[in-house]
Amino acid sequence: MTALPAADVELLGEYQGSGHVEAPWLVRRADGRTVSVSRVLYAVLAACDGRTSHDTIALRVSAEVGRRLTADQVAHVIDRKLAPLGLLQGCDSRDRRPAFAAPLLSLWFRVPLMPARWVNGISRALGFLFAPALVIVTLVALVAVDVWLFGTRGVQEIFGVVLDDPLVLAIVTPLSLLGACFHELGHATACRKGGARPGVIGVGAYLWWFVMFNDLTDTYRLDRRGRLRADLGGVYFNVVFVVGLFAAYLATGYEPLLVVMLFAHADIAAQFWPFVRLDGYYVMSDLTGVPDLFGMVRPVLRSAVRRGAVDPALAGLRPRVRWVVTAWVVSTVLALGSLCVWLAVAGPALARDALAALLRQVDEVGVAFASGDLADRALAVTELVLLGVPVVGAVLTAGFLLLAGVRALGDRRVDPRTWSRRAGPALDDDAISWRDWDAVVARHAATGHVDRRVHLPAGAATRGQ
Amino acid sequence: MNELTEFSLDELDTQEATVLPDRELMAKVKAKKLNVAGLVKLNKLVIKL
Repeated sequence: MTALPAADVELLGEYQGSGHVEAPWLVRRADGRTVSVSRVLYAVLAACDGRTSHDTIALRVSAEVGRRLTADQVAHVIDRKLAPLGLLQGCDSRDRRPAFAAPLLSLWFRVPLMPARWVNGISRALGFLFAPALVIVTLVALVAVDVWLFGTRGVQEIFGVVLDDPLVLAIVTPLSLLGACFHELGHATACRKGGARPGVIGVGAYLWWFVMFNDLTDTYRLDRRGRLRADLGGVYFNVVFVVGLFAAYLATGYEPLLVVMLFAHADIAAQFWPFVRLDGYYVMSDLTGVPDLFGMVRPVLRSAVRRGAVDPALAGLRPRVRWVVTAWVVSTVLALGSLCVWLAVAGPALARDALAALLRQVDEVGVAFASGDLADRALAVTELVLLGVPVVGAVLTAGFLLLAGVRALGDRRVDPRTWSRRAGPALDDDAISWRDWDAVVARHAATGHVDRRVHLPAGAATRGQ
Repeated sequence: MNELTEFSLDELDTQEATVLPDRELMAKVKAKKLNVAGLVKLNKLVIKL
């Protein structure tokens, strides 16, 4: 008798539009994460039903993949490859808990604002916005609006509205936040339109910014077109937002709406920066068919250092994709490296100014609390938080990067990526300590949100990447 | 089945098995757009009204 797939494990099939020579196959795990496996591992997992013998599975898989697999090898694959990833139950699973990816420069400090159930309900209602005719009309309307906005009015004149009356910003701010929410709903609606299920919308911290996010991990199941639609859905909803604001301006003549429209344009442009995990990064990922572009940084750099010896991860890509990915890695390293150099040079002055601003604001908080005005107190504290968050975020990001660098240097003998591909020794039972995995799964089932608080300890974390 | 090439254990050990990173699509929230002076004015205006 063989093992059974773990509860709620879903076989998604082949990754569509892959940039790899041999496309990976995908499995969605109970915690909402997606696991990429080779065809032979996928075939073994698909054959595991708790009843079929290893001999029969070996015969079936051999016929399917065109290579001979023995019953012992089936047992080996189950024990060493599938069970450690949390894909099976009943394989002495007491201490074999699934690995978690902890990608480079990822979102942290997540606070869900809108549960997956609500996101799905709202995105279902907004689905009509992706009707092809309406998309064309909206894009044409944007061109017309922009010709008027930039050609007739001009940026300088519009910002003069703010300079004349700073109170305008009190209107602009909530509208801009509304635009960010609408952007995330655009991703969710596009995701649902393609046939995947969007997750929670929330706020978090990325580098040193506050961000809103939408969990679209389920879009791995879509084809390339569906994934690209989900990537661009946010920007499309920004466009809808701009056109809607213009309609409101035509109806009311209220000038501050034009300021919000300008900010929305800036937001759209910023989203296409492909060197951090904004929309442009995911578009690049889906155009190349490489799900984890940051995971290719190390293979590209290693291949560059060892001339003539192409890293296996890079060699597994189609030739054209390999060139595009290499160009992306070089550009990203240069862009982020320049940013780091600038931070190193300007850091001391920035830190001095930030500290002085924080101290001044602490004084302001003291004055506000002495005045007894509740609104003044709240606003002073808010400004203190807004000043402090980028500083704390920058320090933490620098710390994380430094720690990652130190770990990478200390772990030179065992490359995490290679390790995961050679996960033969699997996860040693004594190397893993897990929190209550069942509770995680239950929480995910209740909220539709993946709990990132659970992670592998330092020694084992890299093995899931 | 005899004509099929057999997998080696090393080959099986090096098979792809990776947890993919989550796809969390983000939008920056520009805190600098928050103008406290403006909010104070608005607050006082509301109180006056």
